[in-house]
Amino acid sequence: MRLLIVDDEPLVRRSLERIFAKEGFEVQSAEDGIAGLKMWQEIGPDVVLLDVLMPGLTGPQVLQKIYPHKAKVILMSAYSGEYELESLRHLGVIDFISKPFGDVFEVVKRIKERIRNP
Amino acid sequence: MVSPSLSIPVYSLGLSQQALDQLKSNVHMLTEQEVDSFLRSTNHLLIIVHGKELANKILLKSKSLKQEKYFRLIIIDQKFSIEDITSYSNSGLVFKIVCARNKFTELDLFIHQAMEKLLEIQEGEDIITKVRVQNKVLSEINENLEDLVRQRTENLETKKLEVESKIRRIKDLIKFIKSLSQVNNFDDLILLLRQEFIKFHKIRSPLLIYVLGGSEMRCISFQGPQIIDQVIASHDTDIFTSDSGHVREILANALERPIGPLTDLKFTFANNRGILLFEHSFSEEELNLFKQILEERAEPLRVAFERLALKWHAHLISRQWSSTFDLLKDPILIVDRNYRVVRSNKNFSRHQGEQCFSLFAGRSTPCVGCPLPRAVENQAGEKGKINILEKTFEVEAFPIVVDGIDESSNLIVHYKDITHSVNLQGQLVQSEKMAAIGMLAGNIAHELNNPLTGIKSLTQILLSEVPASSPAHSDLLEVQGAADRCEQIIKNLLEFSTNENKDLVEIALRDVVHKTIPLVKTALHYFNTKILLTDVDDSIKVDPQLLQQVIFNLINNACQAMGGSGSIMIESEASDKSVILRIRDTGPGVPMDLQDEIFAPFFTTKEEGQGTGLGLSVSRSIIEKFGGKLYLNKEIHEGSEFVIELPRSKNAPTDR
Repeated sequence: MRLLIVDDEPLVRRSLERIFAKEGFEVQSAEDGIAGLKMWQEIGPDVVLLDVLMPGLTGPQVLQKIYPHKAKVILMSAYSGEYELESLRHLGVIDFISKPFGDVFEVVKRIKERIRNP
Repeated sequence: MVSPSLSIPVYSLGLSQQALDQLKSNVHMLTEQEVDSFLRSTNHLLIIVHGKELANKILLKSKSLKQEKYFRLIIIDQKFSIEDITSYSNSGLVFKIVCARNKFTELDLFIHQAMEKLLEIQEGEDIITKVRVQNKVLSEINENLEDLVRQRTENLETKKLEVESKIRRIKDLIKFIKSLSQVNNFDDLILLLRQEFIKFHKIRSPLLIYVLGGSEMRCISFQGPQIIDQVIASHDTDIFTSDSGHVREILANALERPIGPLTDLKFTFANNRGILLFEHSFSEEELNLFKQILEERAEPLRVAFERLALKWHAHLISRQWSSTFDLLKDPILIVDRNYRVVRSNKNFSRHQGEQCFSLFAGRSTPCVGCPLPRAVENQAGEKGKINILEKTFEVEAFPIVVDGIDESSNLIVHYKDITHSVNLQGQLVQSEKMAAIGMLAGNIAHELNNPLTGIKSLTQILLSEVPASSPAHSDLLEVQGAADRCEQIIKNLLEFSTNENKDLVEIALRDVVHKTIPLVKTALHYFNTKILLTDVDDSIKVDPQLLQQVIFNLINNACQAMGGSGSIMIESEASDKSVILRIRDTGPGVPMDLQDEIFAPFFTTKEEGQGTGLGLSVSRSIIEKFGGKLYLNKEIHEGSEFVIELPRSKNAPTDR
């Protein structure tokens, strides 16, 4: 399963890459919205972990540009409740996770669960 | 020798022309009829009589003449008896008797002798006459002189008396003017006048009627020794211009008794009128004398009336001003350069003392922020802000500038209570600041939460990979703890700045303190810290994060106040109704002047950049939101002690 991480924070990318690789995902990551959009178009991931506020393009802007797509998208943001999940569902968003994560393993567990039952 | 022909005329009676022709002397012939008139002559003359009978007739005739006799006789006859000679000699008028018949040879000689004799007598008489005349003149002069001296003496006496009386009057007048200058009101004036004129038994005590400005007409009179000052119910100001008849009428009505003849003295000064009245029973002459004395005093009395009228107006103005000032809510006063109060309005004095700071603020030193020293130095109006207890005053000091004096010695000071507006402004500034902090905090939270997410996640992953026995494991645990604290601080900051009204939760004070201490561990590292928390239930109902912020603030302040070294004591106690937390330091303490000000918004003693000054004011408002109190313990004189007093939770057991 191909997983794309789009986040401007290197430590977040690094930790998520590491943990999802361990879980058997084929992980790739991009450091901002523009690079993320490009990579999304190139690899056609199954799952995208998308940060909201980023330089270049924001997460929702990336979504607008890439749509239609086949990926299951999970939004991540330090601004809790910034976006109404329901209003983005039609763009393929299946969940929203606020930063900072309480326990990263719990987050991974939750994401895997959501992928199975979107 | 004197020539007989020049001065003494010689006449003959009874001598023939022939016989006369023989004579050398100039002799005029007389007839008997002519003799009478010659005998009455008042000039000396010599008559030569021939014949005793003729001579006797002449002598007889002369006897009947009651006057001085100036004629002398030479009698010629042939024969003279002794009796004749005696008789002639006794008469004193016969110069010579000549015995002869026809020849008168020696007659010229006799005539000559007689003339000499008569001339001598005449000269003697002339001298005597002259002496007499001169004596008379002298005595007249003497008499005139005596008269003159007497008159002069009398004049001088009169003049002396006049001068003495004049001096006495002038002295009296001076004394009167002196007394007049010490008169302070119309009552004093009327008393002085009564004293002055008491010697005139025919006048009654004086009366004074006056109108000052637009006020009512008043009359000051005596009832026995008592002074009566009454309003006259008459607006008829003709009293000051009309004759005494009308004045008598008004007076009789006012005093309810008949009024005798009056003499008066009128005063007019701007819109002030006065009339001084004397009721008398003088004769015309006595009245004139009295009027003269009164007239002498008229000018000083007018001056005194003007002075008293001015004084009355000044007093009126002063009273108007003082009541105006007293009506003002703001305290206003006049002080000298040494803060001593000269005058103040009613709303100023709150305490005892002489100086403004003791009277107004109950202080022993000038208020912090008082603009008076600057106003004195710059000789211009200056503003300042002072805090007294919970109140803030804007103080303006203006030097009182008097024309011609370079530097003023007194100042007007005006206090304006601006507590309400300062509070409003503080709240406004605070809410603006909070909004800015909120925005900033949101941005910071996002910026920090992103790396924090990475740090936390990576730490958790590493912790799962590193064996628990490895030293790296405990290091990673420390990193995780710090990251958690960072997350909590960011969360608190967001909550604090968004000022969300969260539900209060019941929590033990000691738990809040224990959670806070780690946040200030670095600051406390330099100081000797003693924490004594009560064992009894100290549950309170608060927002724990906010209470933590307050405790954090107080501990931080204490550390900053102490500088390099010192001790901090954090102590709690609980009573039936409240839970108390004391945070005490051994720093320099809060100066007396500032003890009331430290809770004001934006008050700070820290260097620029070290504090916003919101700490204590915000802390206090947080504690008050929990129904508690935050204050400085003023009984501590070494270091400072801040006390948080919170109501004990109702669910907590009351027994300890």
